[in-house]
Amino acid sequence: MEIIRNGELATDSWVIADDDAALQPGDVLVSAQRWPGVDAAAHRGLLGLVLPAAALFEELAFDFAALPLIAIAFDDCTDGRGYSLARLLRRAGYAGDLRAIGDIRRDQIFYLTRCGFTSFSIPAGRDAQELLRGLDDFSLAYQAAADRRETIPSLRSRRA
Amino acid sequence: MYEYDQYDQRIVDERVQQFRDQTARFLAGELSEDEFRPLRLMNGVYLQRHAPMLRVAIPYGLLAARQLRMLAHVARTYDRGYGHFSTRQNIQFNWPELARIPDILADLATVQMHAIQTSGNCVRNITSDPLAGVAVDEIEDPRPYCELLRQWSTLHPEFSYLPRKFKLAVSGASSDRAATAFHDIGLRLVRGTTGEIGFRVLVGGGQGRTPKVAVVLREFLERTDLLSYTEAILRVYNRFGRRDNKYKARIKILVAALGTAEFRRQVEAEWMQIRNSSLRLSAADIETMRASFAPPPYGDRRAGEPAVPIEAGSGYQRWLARNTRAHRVAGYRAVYVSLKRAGQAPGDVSAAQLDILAEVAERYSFGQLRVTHEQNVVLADVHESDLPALWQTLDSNGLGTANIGLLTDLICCPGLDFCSLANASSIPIAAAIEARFDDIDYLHDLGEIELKMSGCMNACGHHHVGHIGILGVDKNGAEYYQFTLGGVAGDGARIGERLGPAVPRAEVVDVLEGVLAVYLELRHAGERFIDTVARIGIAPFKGRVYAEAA
Repeated sequence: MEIIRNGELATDSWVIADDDAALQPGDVLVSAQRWPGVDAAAHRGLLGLVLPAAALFEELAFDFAALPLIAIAFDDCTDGRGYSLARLLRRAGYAGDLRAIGDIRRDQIFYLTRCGFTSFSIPAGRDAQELLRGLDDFSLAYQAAADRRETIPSLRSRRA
Repeated sequence: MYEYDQYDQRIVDERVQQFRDQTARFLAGELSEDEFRPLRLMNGVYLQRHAPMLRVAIPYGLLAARQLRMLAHVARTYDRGYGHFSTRQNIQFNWPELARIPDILADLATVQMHAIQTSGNCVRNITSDPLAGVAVDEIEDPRPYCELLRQWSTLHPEFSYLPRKFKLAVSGASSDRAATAFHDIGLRLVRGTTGEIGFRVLVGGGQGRTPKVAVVLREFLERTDLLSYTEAILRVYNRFGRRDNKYKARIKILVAALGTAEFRRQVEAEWMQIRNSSLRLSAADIETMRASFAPPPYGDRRAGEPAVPIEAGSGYQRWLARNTRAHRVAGYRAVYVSLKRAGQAPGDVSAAQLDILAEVAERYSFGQLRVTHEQNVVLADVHESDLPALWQTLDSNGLGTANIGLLTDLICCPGLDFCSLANASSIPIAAAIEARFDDIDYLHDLGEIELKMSGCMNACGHHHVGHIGILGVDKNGAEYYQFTLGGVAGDGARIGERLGPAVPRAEVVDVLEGVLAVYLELRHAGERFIDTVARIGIAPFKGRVYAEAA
């Protein structure tokens, strides 16, 4: 799929597996419900996890730290639960690619990046360049979050 | 007061640019109304009955003279010559053109003002005590903490799409003038057992359809933990607050559903994860911010100048007694300027009045004033020798009404005249009340009464916490009004009790008069209205009002 990753346009081959169909070879995102039944050793290709924005972090009762990709699916880009879920995954040490998929819009993408998302799917019909512009809505931030941006309090203390 | 540094200014400037771009995309049809709504709301723009409404943030109600002049400029240039101070210490403009709102925001940014997060499901303007820094009962000035919270909450990446709006109030005095028990989070500066200062943290208060008095979440929080603890509360709320029903989405519903103990357990567990992160404030962080709110250079600055002579019977003494308050510095008073008078909607302020307020603030109060949640303003630092001259200036400009705390100092939302949510009028009712109760001796005899009126269940006029509350409702297309008695916003916070069935619009003022007559009849000597209600209950009032109606 066409995506934005680390601030640039890219393409990759990840697909979301249908919970009810047999797992196809390739780079596949599977749901948390299906995960325990997946035979990772037998799969040809990469495996990642797809979670709804409303998923409960506490219920992820398996080791996700080494996954190459976790996707959080937004039915509505203003579902704040997905923002907190991303931060909790990062806080728990997840260091792989964290992708927001679904209802991704330009005006939320800056916040999503700060919450720890590193890639974004580009919804059908949306202008990828427009989404990219959203990454630069602000050059500064007050709060420490899950991105590497230097915060205003930190800038101030360096100048003091 | 706090002055922006280059970083604060850049954030606000970039926000203006962002909203200019969003507005252009909406007007060009590139953003749908559904897509634009959460964006414009986070900049305080509502699409109202007549025109868009723009709500401008006044952090903790504090304004400098140059900001007042800018608000006057906005009122003249982009609106119809006036603005409206809201019950959350902000100012609203009711008639701007959407296409020009980015220009308004750009103008405001030149005086360190903005409309960031004055609406939307995010952390709203943080309100405080209008007597902050000068009150005689103050433990510590709450404004440095308000500003720390303002910066922490501004464009918060994780908490900009909460289940619902989120309001904080901070009070630093032993008497609560910030209605902290009716906020999502209320913070009270208190002394701990060993004399150190920290916060008592209240959570889950609010008005609206399901009024609730906040519960104590934590008896004592160290000041250094202010941001981490607040973040923990917000994270629990963002994750678990209801999103399926906007009327059940405030934190008060989550706290009630989980129970205070379980909610507290979840907050404390989250807090343990982040308490020692960069959210912890250092003593230096706090001292630096406190220095931004250092007291002005008090002194006997008018010594030697002749006092302005005041004619006997001019109303000055009455104004002095009713509209001024003690100050922690000898020789100074805090002066309430009433924005309630016949012919002007409560909280409305004209461009000319804004300019006069700027002028008197500069001349008599170190160039600053505060907006109160009762929709008045306070000149907090007036030397006693300046009071006669100040009164004369205010009085000759229609700003000298001596009614602070009295019946006609009523709170009122914009109501059906402006607001698209309202079910009933509030401004015309306020006008009728001001007209009926225009006898100043009668008003002073009645004494302190907080009358609060809302045009719908959303309770922007705080009717639940009025000593007398009036709620406008729609009954088959007709405007009816529900009375409540006994609400208290501050110390001893409680929600008013329903008097009886709603009454038609034409009877509102008569019912009010009936309630007041019962009070005058049954009060003990020197007893305030609210204390009489507490002593005798609402039955005698109910009996009178509904017997007369029958």
